[in-house]
Amino acid sequence: MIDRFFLCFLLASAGSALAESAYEVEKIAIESGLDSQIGGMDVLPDGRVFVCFHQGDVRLYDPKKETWSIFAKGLHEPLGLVAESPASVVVMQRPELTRISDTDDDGVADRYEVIYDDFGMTGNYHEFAFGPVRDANGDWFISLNVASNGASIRPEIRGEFQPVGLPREEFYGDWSKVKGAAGRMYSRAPYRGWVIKIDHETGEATPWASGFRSPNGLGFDAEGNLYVSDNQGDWLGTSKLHHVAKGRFHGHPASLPWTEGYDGRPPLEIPVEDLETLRTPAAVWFTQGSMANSPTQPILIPEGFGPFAGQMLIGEMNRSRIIRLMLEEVNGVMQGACVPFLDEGGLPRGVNRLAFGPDSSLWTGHTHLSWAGGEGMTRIRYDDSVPVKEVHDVSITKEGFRVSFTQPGMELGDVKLSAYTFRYQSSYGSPKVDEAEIAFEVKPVSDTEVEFILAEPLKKDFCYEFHFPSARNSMVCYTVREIPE
Amino acid sequence: MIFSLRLGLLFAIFLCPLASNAQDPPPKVKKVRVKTVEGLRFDPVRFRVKKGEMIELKLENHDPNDQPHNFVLIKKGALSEIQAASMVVGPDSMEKGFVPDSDAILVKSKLLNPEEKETITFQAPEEKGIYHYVCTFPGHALIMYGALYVDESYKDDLAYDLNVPEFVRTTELDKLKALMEVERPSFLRLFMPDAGPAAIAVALPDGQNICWDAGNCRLRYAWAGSFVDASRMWKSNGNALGKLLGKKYWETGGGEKTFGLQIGEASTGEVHYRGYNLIAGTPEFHYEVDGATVRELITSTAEGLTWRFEIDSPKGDVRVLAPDSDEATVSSLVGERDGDFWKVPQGDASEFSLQITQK
Repeated sequence: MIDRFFLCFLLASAGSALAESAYEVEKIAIESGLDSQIGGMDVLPDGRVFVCFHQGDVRLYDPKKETWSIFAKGLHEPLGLVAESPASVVVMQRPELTRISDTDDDGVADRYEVIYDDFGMTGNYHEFAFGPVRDANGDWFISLNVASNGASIRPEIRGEFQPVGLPREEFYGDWSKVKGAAGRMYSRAPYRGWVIKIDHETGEATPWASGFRSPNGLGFDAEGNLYVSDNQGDWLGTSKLHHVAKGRFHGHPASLPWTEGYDGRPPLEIPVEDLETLRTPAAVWFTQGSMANSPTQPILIPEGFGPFAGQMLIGEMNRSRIIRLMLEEVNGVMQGACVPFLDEGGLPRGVNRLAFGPDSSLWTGHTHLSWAGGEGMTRIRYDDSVPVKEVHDVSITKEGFRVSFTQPGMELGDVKLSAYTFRYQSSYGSPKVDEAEIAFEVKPVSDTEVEFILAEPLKKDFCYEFHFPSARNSMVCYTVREIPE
Repeated sequence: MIFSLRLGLLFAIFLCPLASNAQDPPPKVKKVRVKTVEGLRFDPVRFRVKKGEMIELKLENHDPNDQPHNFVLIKKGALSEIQAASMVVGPDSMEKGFVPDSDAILVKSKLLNPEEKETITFQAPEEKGIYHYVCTFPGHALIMYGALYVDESYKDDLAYDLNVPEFVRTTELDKLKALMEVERPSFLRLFMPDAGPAAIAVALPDGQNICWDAGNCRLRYAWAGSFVDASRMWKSNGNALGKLLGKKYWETGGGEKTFGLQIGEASTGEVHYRGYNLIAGTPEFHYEVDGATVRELITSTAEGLTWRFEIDSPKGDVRVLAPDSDEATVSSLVGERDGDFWKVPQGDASEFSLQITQK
């Protein structure tokens, strides 16, 4: 086995690559007196940035003048924003998707128009609402968090109550006694745990995909595939990125009773084997504890932000980290790898929202909402004078993986590879299961590319974790759903 | 009663000598600093400990008004008894440091003159619950007490904690009101009491405030005074309800299935909320009832509220849920009272106003 292989040109060592980053993080000053937790942001073509904050404001930042102005106020936990024009934004707040516009041209919104509010709310704190994102047609996608049994429901709810498994009056009894029967995370009002599509012309809403727990992030890849992240917890052995399509069920059963023609079984009583046949597994696992504990918004990387255009980034709440995704279609299934992209380097924790500006700089908005995270806002610029020494892409082969690098002649060093899986179970999270070191041979393909030929057959539903000591970010995890035929 | 005595070290009173076992490692001690400050107040006025935990409490008298103070921890439920007992001054009171004879006393410090300090060590009660600590110097205990949370978490902000003296709550509430001072008119969406989860709180001029429910499209209630304490929501993941910083004087009542506006005899009450426009900063709510478009604008007057409706082509008489309350009456130049509703004939219903007048 060749475990140490030198490509043609030996360049700078990993140590000096660490010394200088091609990505410079600038913290943006936010007006004093304002809680600077950010729920959503988007950049206008002229470079100004619309930002919505935890306390309900939408403010507009002008990076040229470094000034802020207030566009709208009074929103209920806004957690996503799309800028339509300097005079119009669409915001996802707890109770509704709202178009907020300035109709008299004074720079301040005067119309708050409901685009979609035909979903339920029990008043449970965990019923966050995320999105929106727009597809190529201009239609909207949002996602609805399920409730947490950290609390019950409120006396008044909006929408129809879902009594399957536990009648409503039980929710008003001794909560410590019934919370277990409610489910650790529960969906008692319509479409909690669903992704919803809203037609931008007719306003018609279509429940699109189910099985989500805490889907705090939606985004499209270059081909228009929709991805939604989800957070480790009950039924999620580790955090995930799902490739979402109409009718798919993504694994958390609380949302199932809102499926059309549902058979009425309490979700907690459905055997795991049955759920297995229903669910579409994730495209990417984020290994809890090492890659991400709470992934957020995926976003497509444009040209001008280094050598990764066409791939995607995704935020992580718990660390000062942004992750890069390397996805591919195998046997008709989207799957792929993730790698830390930015760690520390002045980046606060709680990377909740990402938005690219017209100059290809990346804006980040941070939050915590009393969980692990951070606050504030940064702008990240790419400096093309600094070489980026990274794994560029990973693709699966019949016998292993083909890995390309951003620079020719990068020393591979002592590469380590292990594999493990996670359990699909109702309890919270999962340890790594069946973890083992994997032996391999390295076969050079070109001066930027090598193939790893594994000493044992690839296994489906396993995460393969590489460590490349010479790359700036050494840990790369590939989630195998399909093996090329 | 004013005592200007320099009590000094005359009253060296120690309590709760600790049983210690030489073989055990020294127990972990929780250190707490409690100051007595201006205005007959303990600082902190509440704190948390674990049951049975060893507490090393450093008491410091920082009262600039030449007042002596002590720290006396008492049994649960004994506050009134000790407050009364501390008012009785007997010939030996001074000798006893003004600590009344009572089985309810668990821990006591010396009586400290201004700028004096004392460290007392004691074991927290073994039974969980909320205990009081008081200053038993005559006259002080009525307002000078605090709450020791033993194995309990705070159920609410200090401003709303009934276990601390009322003046402390008032002071804290005033701070909140200042913090939550808003421009008028303005509005905030948050979870509100006595409303559905899609509520909108509106601050109007003249110290008027309303809660409008975007779930079932109706005005829920009105209150006078400051706006809403949203600080607890903002400090957390949003679980907390807003609290009214004023007095509720009128409400429509009912619940999530109650509808506020009915058009015609065959009204289904089915509503579709459409949003709001700002009219000089005040939201004008838009929705559909029974197929008719409604615009509803609530503004303030010196005595209450003006509640205006515009309905496109109403197909019958209109009934608005608008009961009188003990503190306010509803009236209008058109229509008449109909139980809890105000009924407006179809001919007048395309544009009309109700007045809500505080008594």
